[in-house]
Amino acid sequence: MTATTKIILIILVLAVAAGAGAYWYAFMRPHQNMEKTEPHFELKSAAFLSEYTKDETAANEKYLGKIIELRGEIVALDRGEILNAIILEDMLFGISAYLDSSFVVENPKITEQIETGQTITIRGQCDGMLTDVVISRAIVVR
Amino acid sequence: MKPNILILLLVIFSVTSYGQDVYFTKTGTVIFDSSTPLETIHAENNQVTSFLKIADGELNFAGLIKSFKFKNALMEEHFNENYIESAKYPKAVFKGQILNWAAIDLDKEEAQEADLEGELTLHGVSKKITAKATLHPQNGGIQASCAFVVSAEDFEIKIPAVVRDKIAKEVSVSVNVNYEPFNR
Repeated sequence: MTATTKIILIILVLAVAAGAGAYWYAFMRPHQNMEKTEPHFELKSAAFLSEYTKDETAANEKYLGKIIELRGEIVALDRGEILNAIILEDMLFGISAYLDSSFVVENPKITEQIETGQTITIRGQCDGMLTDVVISRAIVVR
Repeated sequence: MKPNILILLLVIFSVTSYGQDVYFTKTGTVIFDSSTPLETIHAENNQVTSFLKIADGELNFAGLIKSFKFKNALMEEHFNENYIESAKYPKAVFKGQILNWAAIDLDKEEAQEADLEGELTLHGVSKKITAKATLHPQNGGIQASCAFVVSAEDFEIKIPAVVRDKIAKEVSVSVNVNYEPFNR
C-alpha cells in the first residue's frame, strides 16, 4: 500500500466517522440531560407562580420551553408505582413538576424520602399553564 | 383567541356545589400518531386537564403543546418550532358535549358508548369534531376513552415538501382519562 493510498483511506475513514457523528447529533441525539443542564432561571416557586397568575402571556414569553429551577414547599405528591409528580404551592392552581421517569428509577434513595411539607428544589422544562403551571422532565436538585 | 381554562374552571366550580357535580382529571392522556412506513411519529401528553359536568354531559379538555413528548429530541423540536408553533399557540383545547348523555347511566359499572361532538382548537384554528367515546363508570370515577382522526391541513399546519412523504396527512388521536369526582 502506497503512502498516498494510506492517506486516502485515513481521510475516508475520518469522513465516514464525521458523517455518522453529524447524523447521530442531528437525528438521534437524546433529550437534554436535566442533571447536566444549567437552568435559564432560578427562583422561588411562589414568585414564579405569581408571574403566571398575573399575566400568563408575559410569563409564557419569558419561561415557555425554558429550563427553570424552583424552590418551594411540597403541598402534595402524585405517587403511583413510582413518584410521578411533585406539587408546589397549591394542589389545583399551583405548580406540578412531572418527574423524569429515568431520574426517579435511577435515584430511588432521593425520591423515596420526599414528603409533603418539605422544601425542595426541582429543575425542569416549563410547558406553560393550564389550571396549574406544568414543569416536565423534572429532576430533584436538593 | 386564547381560551382561558382557568377562568372557565373557576366559573364552573363556583356555580356548582362541591362534590359529585363535576368529574375532573389533570393527568389525562392524549396520544397522537402520524407515522408512515418511512418514519414513526408518535407523541404522548400525560398532563391533560379535563372535566365532565354531570348535569348535562359537557366536556372540556385542555393540553399544553409542549407537554407532548417524543422519543426523538429533534422530532420534538421540529414539532414545536416548525409545525405547531407552540410558542405562539401553547395550548390545545376541546369543548364539547356528549349527545346521548341522557342514556348514560353512571350507576352502572360497565362500558357505555357515548356520541361526542365538539370543537377542537389547535394552532389557532377551531374545527368541529365528532367521535364515538366509551365511558366506563367504576370505583366512584369514570374511565373514558375516545379515538378520532384529524388532518394537519385542517389546522393550517404546514408540512414542508421535503418531509411530506415521512409524515402522514391524517393524524390519529387517542384520548384516555380517569375522571374522579371533584373535591376541593
